[in-house]
Amino acid sequence: MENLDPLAITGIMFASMLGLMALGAPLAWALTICGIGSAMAIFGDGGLDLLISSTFSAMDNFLLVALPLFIFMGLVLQRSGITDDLFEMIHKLMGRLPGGLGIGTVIICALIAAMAGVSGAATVSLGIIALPAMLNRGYDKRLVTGTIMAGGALGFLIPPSVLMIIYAFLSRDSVGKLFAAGLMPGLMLAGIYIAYILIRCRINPSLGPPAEEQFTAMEKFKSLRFLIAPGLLIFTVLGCIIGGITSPSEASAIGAFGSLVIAAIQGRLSWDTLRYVMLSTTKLMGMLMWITIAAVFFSKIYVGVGAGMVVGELIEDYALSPNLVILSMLLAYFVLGMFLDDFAIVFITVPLFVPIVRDLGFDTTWFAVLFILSMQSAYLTPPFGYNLFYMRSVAPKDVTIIDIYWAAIPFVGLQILGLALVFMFPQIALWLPSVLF
Amino acid sequence: SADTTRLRFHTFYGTEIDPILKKFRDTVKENSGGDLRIQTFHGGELVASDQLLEAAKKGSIDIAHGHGGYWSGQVDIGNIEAGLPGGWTSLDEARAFFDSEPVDALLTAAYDEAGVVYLGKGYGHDYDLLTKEPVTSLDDLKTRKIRATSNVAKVLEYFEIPTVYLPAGELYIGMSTGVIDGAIYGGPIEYEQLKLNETAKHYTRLNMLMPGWTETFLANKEKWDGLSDEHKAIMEEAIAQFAADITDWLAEGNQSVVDKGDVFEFAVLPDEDSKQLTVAAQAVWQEEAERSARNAELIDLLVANAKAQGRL
Amino acid sequence: MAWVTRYLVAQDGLSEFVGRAISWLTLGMIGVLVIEIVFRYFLDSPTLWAHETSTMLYGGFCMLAGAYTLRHRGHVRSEVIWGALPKRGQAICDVVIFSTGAVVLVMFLKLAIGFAAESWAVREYSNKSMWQPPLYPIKTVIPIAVGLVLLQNMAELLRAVLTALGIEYDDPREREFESDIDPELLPTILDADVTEAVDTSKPNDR
Ligand code: NA
Ligand code: NA
Repeated sequence: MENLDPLAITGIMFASMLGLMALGAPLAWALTICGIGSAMAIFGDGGLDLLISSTFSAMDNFLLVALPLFIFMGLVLQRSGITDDLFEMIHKLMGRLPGGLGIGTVIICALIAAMAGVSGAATVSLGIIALPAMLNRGYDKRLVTGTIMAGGALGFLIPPSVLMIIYAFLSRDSVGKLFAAGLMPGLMLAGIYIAYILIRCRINPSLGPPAEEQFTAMEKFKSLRFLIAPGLLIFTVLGCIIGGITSPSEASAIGAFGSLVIAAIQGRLSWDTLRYVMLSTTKLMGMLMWITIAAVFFSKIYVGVGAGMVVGELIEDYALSPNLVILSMLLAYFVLGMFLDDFAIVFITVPLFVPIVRDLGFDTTWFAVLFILSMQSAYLTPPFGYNLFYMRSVAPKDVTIIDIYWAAIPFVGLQILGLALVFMFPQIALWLPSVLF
Repeated sequence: SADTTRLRFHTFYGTEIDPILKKFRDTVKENSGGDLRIQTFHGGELVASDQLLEAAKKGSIDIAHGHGGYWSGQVDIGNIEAGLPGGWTSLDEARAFFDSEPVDALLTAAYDEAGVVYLGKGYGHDYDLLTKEPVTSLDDLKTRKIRATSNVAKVLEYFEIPTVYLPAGELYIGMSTGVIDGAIYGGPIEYEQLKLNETAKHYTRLNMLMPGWTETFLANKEKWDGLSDEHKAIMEEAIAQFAADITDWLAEGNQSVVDKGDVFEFAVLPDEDSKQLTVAAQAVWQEEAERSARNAELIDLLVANAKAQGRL
Repeated sequence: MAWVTRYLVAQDGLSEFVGRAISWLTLGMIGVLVIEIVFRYFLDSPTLWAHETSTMLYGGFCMLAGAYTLRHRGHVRSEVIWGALPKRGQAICDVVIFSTGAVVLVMFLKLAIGFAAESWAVREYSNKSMWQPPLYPIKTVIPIAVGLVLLQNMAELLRAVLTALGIEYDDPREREFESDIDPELLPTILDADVTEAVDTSKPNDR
């Protein structure tokens, strides 16, 4: 059986996995079942033992310690009311500007993204705080729901980023380098959203009418105090990683500890909050770890039967140009992103794609940024998009699921624009790491 | 053909040795008339390097190419055979030591007990100190953080030199941002491949251990026993050539970096300091000797060799 | 069917207990790494043990969390098709998944026991740093964690079988509300139509 055509193996392995996933199997179950099936059928002696070696290598990795701690930090911040404070500040500073609250929302999203390792945190809290406030002031509901969903998706691009840590674990890139590479594209994308809102509101002011309330210069200045705590935290955590003072894992511990200190100082650290944060982290990490194991195992079986070369050979056979290869990978990401969870996509594709990207002579750090940009779209593309679900569950009743889908579309377009820019000008991503390291 | 035997061969090196791997595959295929085929895997591709022994034992892979340090927690002699500070000072000396009958017998027995077949040794090359600032003596290092792995770290600790552990992939950023001031990881070619010359220029020969590591080839018992004598001979010969090719490649690479002249500034640790390192290493030797009777025996042989060479 | 309910309460309770107990390890990881940073930068003496200790806490924590995640239905699944099925159809899919899952987990458990036993047999230690801690405790966590997931998997299987067969039973978990969203941020969510909130079955009705 070991001489089975690798292309057939590829087909069988992926088809059975997709079949199980269609049945609604948890991803970890689908991958392990297919992996074990393939191991017994085609790998021969010792294939099964790769399951246990994959397990131990997923457990025994200092890099990954940052995952639970960045998640922990994001959850504490979500609970500590930072979003309310920031929105109050934006309201005072920018409320009078046409579309000002929308622009402010993007800025808050970028700030939260720089503190939290996962996407979604900003969408939920802004959906609850900013969305009703903007709707009450006559903002267009599709414009603002789209803004909040797209801004929330910045969480993975602007460091720290759990998805980048997993990518680095699989591709053996440096986490610090990936973080540095994500910063400029993240800010650029935020800039694109802001420009879009400004242009739309300039053309049609009724989309984002200026607020009536007046605030004195002193009130405006005082509201800036809300920037102190997040500013310190962002500066410390990113400074530690990008400045190389500590490893990303240590920086995540500083961030988690710092978020607890901030919450405590503000009197918002209760027993309930702590329990909620600890248990949510436990639940999320149980999911991530079991997928990691299953996906690493699955890909090792796949590599072990010699099927890893198949994709490479296909590319050679069809003599695709390197750029076309990258474009087809990005297209694959877009399609996968419509149906699959981002963690599922990273585990399935990175072991497959990254060696090819490397062989073609591209920078894997650059490809990582393209990948993350694609995953941002995955958060917004129906039918399966986390930010769509989050928004649906927090939005007022008069924002329908149809509104939410329509709201997402222009922002997906903007994300593709950002992706195209980074594709054509890799320096957007690679400049900062090249200066820093 | 139907009689084709496929062997999964897993090295701990990355793609940098691809030409050597290809030659190895081709040699085996040619010498066996196509009956033996080797499928090669790079470091971490199927299993993490510290799982290589386990994988060969269980049959996830058929032949492992690693070094004793990876599995020293599972096989008593692992650390000693990988290379203890002060252990040997030249390729010839290391070869003669491992080829000697009592040493070979100890290794064969140890790996047999661990459930794998010991196929033979390979030899690394230079293993010295790279620092951002010049080093003229051990005293210079007392205020600097040096990246080192366990046995070397223990020796440095003896001189109150602070050590940290970082994986190879983080060396560049660690060095460029000052998390570490220096590293003991390999020779000039390895440092150049990691682009460390962009951040640290000073290469100091320690004269502590040469080759700085030795490599070990292990086979899955069942798979190996299933090979015909002819195939075994083909494999043994090809592996010996593969190991020699790696050593040559390292030697040439290191020399080429030296020849370029402007990659690193080379210095040599004073003789007196190198001697002190060897003396300090004795504590590590004794610690290893105490792990088992077999370890004590191997350390005795190592001591006898060092005495015969006039180093102790 | 009272015994079913009693069994489900007990099994869910076991996973819940383990999850709550190990959730404290998050604070452990933070503490260990903060200590390392303080020792390194303020006392200028990096610890030998912090990195490996935090890694072991991480590995043990995440492995053991698997059963808690399953008990709270937190393992990511694609609901594009599954979510569109009627309850009974979903249960039939779940029977297939969790019965195959049980077989696979039993194999995993067997491997994991062997893996840990061998580590105990040679009193394996780690050789990454000078600290050289024993590895058999962390390797022993693997069979325990796999066993716990297997137990919870059986509870999920039983639920699916009973639902698929149309047998009425009292599921203690039915009364719980699950959300990925901070409950404190959502005081009104219990009033909202939750199934509609995550309904992805009608993407084309615009
Ligand atoms: Na982020
Ligand atoms: Na999507």
